[in-house]
Amino acid sequence: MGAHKFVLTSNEEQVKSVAGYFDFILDTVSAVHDYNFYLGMLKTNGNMVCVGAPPPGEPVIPFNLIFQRRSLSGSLIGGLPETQEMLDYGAEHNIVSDVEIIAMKDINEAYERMLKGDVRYRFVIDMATL
Amino acid sequence: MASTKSYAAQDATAPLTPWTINRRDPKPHDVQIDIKYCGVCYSDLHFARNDWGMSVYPLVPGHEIVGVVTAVGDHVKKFKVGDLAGIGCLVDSCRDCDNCKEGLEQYCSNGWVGTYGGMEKDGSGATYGGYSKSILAHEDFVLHISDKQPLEAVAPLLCAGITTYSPLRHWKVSKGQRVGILGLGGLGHMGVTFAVSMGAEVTMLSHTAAKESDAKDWVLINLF
Repeated sequence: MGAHKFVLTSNEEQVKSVAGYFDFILDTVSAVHDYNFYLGMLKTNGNMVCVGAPPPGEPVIPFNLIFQRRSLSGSLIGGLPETQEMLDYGAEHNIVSDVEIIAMKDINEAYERMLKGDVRYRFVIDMATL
Repeated sequence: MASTKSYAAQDATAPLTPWTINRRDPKPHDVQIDIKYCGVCYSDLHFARNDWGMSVYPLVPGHEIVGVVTAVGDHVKKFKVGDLAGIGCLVDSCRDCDNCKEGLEQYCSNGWVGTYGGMEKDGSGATYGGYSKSILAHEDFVLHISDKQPLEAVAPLLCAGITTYSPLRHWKVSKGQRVGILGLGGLGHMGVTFAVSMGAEVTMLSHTAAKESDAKDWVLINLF
């Protein structure tokens, strides 16, 4: 179940094509990045939600919110009832994670690979190996 | 006390190594789980290395836990031995504040207890996570897991899944909306999957050409 489109944000032409385009952006990035750059991709009343937690970087410029009544929000995991709802929804729609199984002893190497972005898309430890 | 094999960080610079946890004795509402798989979240790495300045050692990471119930306390109603079960990021909260009463334990006004690196509210000590053979928690913080899906691929739903599902639901993402997902990692790939399943038109946003080719294996490309 892949995305419908891909935009390379270092390509000016592609970025222009999504100016004022999105209803909703889910920001999962935990490295420092400029929120203002992405707020410009929201249409009027659009909302960008942060679930990645980077250290402080460029300040958010309120003009980018005010002129199109955009929102910048945050969200933390979910409560227990909603987590059960999500698991049930996942079972109903056959949604799972794309995982690479590792042995417990390989966890330190897995951390190094995560820091390099070398994981598609989640390591899972097989506890039979502990 | 029951001793359980685990992998722990002993300080912020040490690699994870084998360690034995002494888990608390099961209480009447506890569910004990034999852990089959545990997902590896970036928070695990940040906590192991004290990147957020709040780690307590020894630290056993892991909050994407799935396994099989091996014991239940006398008062447990929701689970029985042999059930598939999961534990996510939380193992307790105050259960009394407005947020807890609404099922929003992650915003507990009095502080929730994390599955690892937290302190039990009954004073029994630190919490240790899922890089271990078994774990126990109050039944209200244990999730039912379907037997229709591969268990190892369900594990990451306990953190990466709910972290992306919750905001998509809260802000009512639905058919016809244009959704951008920024970042193609553990969270991003779940965000794309959930948003597509909800009927949105989903665009993957990534900042490097390397990521673009990386994404091609998995994302349907339709360049503008």
